[in-house]
Amino acid sequence: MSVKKSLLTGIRIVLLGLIIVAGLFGIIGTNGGPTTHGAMKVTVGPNGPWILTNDGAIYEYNGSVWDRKEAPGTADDLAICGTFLTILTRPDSQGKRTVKSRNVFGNIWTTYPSIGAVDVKQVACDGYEPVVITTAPDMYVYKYYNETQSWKSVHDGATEISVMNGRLFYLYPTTARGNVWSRDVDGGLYTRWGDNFVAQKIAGDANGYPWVATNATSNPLYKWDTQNNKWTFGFSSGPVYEMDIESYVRMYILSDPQISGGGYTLYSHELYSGGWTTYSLPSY
Amino acid sequence: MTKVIQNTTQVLLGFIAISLGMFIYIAFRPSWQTVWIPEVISLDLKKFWLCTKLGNNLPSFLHVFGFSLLTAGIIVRKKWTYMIICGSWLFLNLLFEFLQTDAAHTRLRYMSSNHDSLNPVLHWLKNYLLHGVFDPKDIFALMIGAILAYVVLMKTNKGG
Repeated sequence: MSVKKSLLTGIRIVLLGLIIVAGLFGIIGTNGGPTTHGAMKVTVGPNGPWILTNDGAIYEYNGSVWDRKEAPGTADDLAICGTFLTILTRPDSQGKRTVKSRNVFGNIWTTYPSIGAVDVKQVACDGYEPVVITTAPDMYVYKYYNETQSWKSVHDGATEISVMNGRLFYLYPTTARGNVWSRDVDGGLYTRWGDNFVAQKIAGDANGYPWVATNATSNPLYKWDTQNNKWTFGFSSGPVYEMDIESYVRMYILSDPQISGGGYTLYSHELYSGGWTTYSLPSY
Repeated sequence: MTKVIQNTTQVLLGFIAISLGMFIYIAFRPSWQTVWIPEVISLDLKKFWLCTKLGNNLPSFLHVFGFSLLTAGIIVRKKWTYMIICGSWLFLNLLFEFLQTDAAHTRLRYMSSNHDSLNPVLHWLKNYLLHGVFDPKDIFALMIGAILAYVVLMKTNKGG
């Protein structure tokens, strides 16, 4: 191949540039394309949803994109206690999870004392104080009181909990006469919601009413009909794997489609109007 | 009048090396590891132990070897520049390999968890590093690739 010498320099510069770009692409491009990570847990922070991804990372949605707050492998569950990100760590060598928290704007972790020899399976928040369930067979609900700086058993028996405005909403392990209950988290009378109604997931709203999801794969969401005092159909949806409610405002659920790498898709719905909003998921 | 390609043999050898590296990715690596391989053409032949072992480090060797030959074959004929070209590709590959170490990874985790929104360059770098695994054998393969490329360039040089 021959060309006029005046063109040679330019052609060689272009070729060199293409070779360098191709070489760099060869290095960078062989470290994998970004993988979409599905959500395993969802909670509501001061400015929107936070999720725990399938690899144990924590992300906050800033209105347009996901900001990574914690690296993969950080947590098994999360909740926002006031302005504190509260997590259950992954099990240690003894198989026990630890409750830790940090300011959502900071990076200094506080580790809570362990609750005896038992393991913890879920964390929720009563204001700035964490509330947890221990694993089977106990399934006790413990609350950490900042005043005494200690855990106290506040209820005996729950498979799922949600705490909102001082109310503890929970699913009782025995389902023979329905399993949806609530009570003030610090004590008081129990309320059973509906006869013989068995739910799999629960979230309380700021008005003091529970919203639940059954294990149905289609339309599992129910809300409490305050006029007729019975459960009524909530919103149309696919299966619900996790749910949480932002005050009086909005419900978040994890549902299908499942993400091939693990985890689920995040949706939200205003409690009293509108339709579902689908969120993108972190990709990295 | 003069030639654009300075040394056809070098360019040809470079293309063969790069093509072989691409074939290894298509044949032995899962498609998600590679941006430019669609799943439909990925063979992902994990069952051949030897090929899998070779496939781990051979691409590093072929990358620095192939691109050194390709670069030199197209743009230069002078022997003294071969060292610079091989050294540059070696440096570039080593840089990205060391960015996959735990130390770099930890630093990036800190940076990415303490910025409300990552700047695009950091975000891009994060995607790269999070998928990368530092392998000392890659360092060895890269150095062998650079040395062998220099030897081949000297042997195939046609004056200059």
